[in-house]
Amino acid sequence: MKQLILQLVAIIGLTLLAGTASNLVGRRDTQAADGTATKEWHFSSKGARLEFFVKESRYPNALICMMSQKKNPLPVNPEAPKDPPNGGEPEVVDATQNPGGTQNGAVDPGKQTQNPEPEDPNKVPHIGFEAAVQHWEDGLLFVDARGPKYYAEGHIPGAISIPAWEPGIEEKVQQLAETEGTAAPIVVYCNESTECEDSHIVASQMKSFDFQELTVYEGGFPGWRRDWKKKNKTEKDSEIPITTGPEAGPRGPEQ
Amino acid sequence: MDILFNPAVRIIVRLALGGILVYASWHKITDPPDFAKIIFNYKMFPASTINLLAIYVPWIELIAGFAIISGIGSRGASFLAGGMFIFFICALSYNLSRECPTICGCFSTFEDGKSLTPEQKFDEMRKEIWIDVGCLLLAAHVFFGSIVAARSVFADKEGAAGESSAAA
Repeated sequence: MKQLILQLVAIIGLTLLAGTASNLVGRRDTQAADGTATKEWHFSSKGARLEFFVKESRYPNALICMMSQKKNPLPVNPEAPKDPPNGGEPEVVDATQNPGGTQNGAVDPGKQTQNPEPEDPNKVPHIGFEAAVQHWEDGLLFVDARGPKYYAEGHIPGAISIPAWEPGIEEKVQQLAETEGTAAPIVVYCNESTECEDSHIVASQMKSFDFQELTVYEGGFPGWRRDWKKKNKTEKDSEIPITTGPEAGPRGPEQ
Repeated sequence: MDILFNPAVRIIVRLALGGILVYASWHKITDPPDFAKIIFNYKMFPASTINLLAIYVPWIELIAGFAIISGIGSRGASFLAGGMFIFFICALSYNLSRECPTICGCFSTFEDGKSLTPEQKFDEMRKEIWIDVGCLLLAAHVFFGSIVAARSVFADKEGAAGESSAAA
């Protein structure tokens, strides 16, 4: 028993040492002066591959499984109106009538579900392709929540990169708040999914810095690429608005 | 019992289990943000624990794996490994029961699994549970094998001491 405890203590001790050291010392992706991706050695808590301690708002809905909630909805509210045609899916709104969106204004009150979720004032509304194109043409700022590698491979022109899963997200959001102001309407996107969790992680950070006008583009970059090709009836990336490389590029259709 | 804890069998099981642990830990150590994403997708851990788990759990796997392969500290290492496998089995079973499709992440990255449909994820989760059950059995073998080995060494020493005192 004594031997077992000693061995457990030794393994856990080594783990703490090795884990801490590996997180602080490592090679980090950076950009060379000519813009090419490169790696450099670092040793600092600021350059840590993952922050050791994070606030609860860093990962919103960490204990809520959206897919599970949809299959096991809340008990029926007898006062609520009847089922919508989409079976209670999160409402995707064409916000062209309401550019920038609001925290609560994206849901059509005429299409409430039979099992309505309690209204969450912090919920960031989702928008579809048409609304995203309208916002892009209006010159709104887009934020790309994907990893740096995917951003460099292609992103919406003018979108800046704030990866949801890389360290330094707070500093980037703070910088954005200083340059754009927290009243600026912003569209966040990631990869295509109904939950858009990466976008919501970035949006949650932005909310903690008092950004007000946030929306999430549900199609993400894959949807942007696919729907633009459909719209322009083309298969070529060169004929749709996409920017590659580490720079954001100019916003809007004037390129 | 003699066949089950035969020294040759124990070595093979130790190498297999240790190899699995080292292999499983590698992609998590080289890409902590990806592993953090995997932990997040389980929807079972408070936000404040996700990064800490992503940093330290892979190292437990790696160090335990090497301990089991080398035989140094294999009892503690197999005990820890067994505990981890029991936890993974419970976590995956819980998510299956509440129909929460999860990318398992034991042997693959989040990026590998994100394109799977929910049904494919559920299939992978069921397969993963069986793999973890198998690994748990290996860990149990290493753990009890180390106890059996220690007892037989102790019994040999006692026997030798008894013979030498009888000879004296």
